[in-house]
Amino acid sequence: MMKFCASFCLLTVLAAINMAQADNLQCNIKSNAAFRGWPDMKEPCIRSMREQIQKEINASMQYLAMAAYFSNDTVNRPGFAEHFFKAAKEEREHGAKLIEYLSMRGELTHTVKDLIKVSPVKVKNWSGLSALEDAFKLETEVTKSIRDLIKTCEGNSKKADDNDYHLVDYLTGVYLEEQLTGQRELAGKITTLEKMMSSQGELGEFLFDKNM
Amino acid sequence: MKYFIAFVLVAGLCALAQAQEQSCQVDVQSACGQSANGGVANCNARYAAIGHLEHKMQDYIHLQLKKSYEYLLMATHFNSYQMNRPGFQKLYQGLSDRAFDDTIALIKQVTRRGGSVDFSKPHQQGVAQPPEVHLNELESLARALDNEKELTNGAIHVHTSATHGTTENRIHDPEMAHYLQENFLSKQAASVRTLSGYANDLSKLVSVREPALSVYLFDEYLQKQ
Repeated sequence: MMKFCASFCLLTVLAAINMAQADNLQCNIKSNAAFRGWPDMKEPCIRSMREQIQKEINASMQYLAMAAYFSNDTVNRPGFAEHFFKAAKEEREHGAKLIEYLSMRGELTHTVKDLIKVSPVKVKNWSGLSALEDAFKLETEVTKSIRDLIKTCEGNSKKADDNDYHLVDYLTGVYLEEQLTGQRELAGKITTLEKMMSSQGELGEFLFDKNM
Repeated sequence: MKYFIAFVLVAGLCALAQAQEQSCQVDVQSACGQSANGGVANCNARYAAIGHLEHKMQDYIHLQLKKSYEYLLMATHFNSYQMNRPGFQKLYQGLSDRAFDDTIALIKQVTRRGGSVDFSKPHQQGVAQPPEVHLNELESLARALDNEKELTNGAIHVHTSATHGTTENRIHDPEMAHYLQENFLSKQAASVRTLSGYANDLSKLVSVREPALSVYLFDEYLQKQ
């Protein structure tokens, strides 16, 4: 009985202490939770994922610069501008989805700070055609870089115990799929515009822009 | 005296011709059917104070872009399994998306007014170092509030130039001022107020010895916003 009374008193006191305003704000909440064998992603794969994220952001910046160029009143290609604004948003989205994937796998707990850098990009006096060709080149590079990323994440052990099946499947099924259809779409646009330009010059680009 | 009058007349005519040359129509007239085509450089959408506003707008665009990625990293930080604060993640992801959409909107506004935006130079808007994003909940709200004020001040800075001009160039730009008021200043006021409210609420909630439950409940509240 005595013991029970004592522990009850202790509890009350503890509760009272917690309710009372502490002198300082308690801002940091610590956790001691531990997981065995998790997170389980391999270092080279994580590193390549981070590089891929930066590449997606760079591509987004490049498209933003193109969109800004075609928005100029003296260039006046609103169709191209909208196309590239959309592409810039999509690339940023791709980067964000890869970041989310890493978080899902238990990464990005202490190393978020230097994940993304906003860098300047190349700017030219594009024509509609040269911009699409540059975009195609850029997409081809991104596709290649995703293929390399997949290879890295498949690992090279014979027993395949460092093969990151899930990520490899995700990259192949979602990212490569989008890259390939995107490349096909750009290639189609390029040939159509090229045909229109070779017979009609400026009129070709003007009409193409309005139908983009 | 006669010579002088003639001289003044000629000078006046020259000045008139000079002034006329600044127009699109003169460009077109002189370019049409000429072998030496001078181009139509004066056919542009530039008027009012766009000349000294476009660089300020460019700075503001870069600031928005930078903040957009900073918010994205803050959202990522709270999305990690160790932080696990979906409410905070949602808040910062929303701010990140808004800043990116605003970047595009601002590019459209500058180019609507005949200006252009350059992405080819490294930009020193704010600190060069990537910002620290591993913050606790309250500190992140404090950072976000400061960020929102920085973005508000960016808009005010352009607005001030648009309404008062500079000392050497007193051109007003009501269109740009109106655009910023309509699309940025009132929206920023709302977001500054919201974040200030959050920061004050949470700082009261964490002034207990064991704030884990308070922060959990606050995060749950943020999820519903």
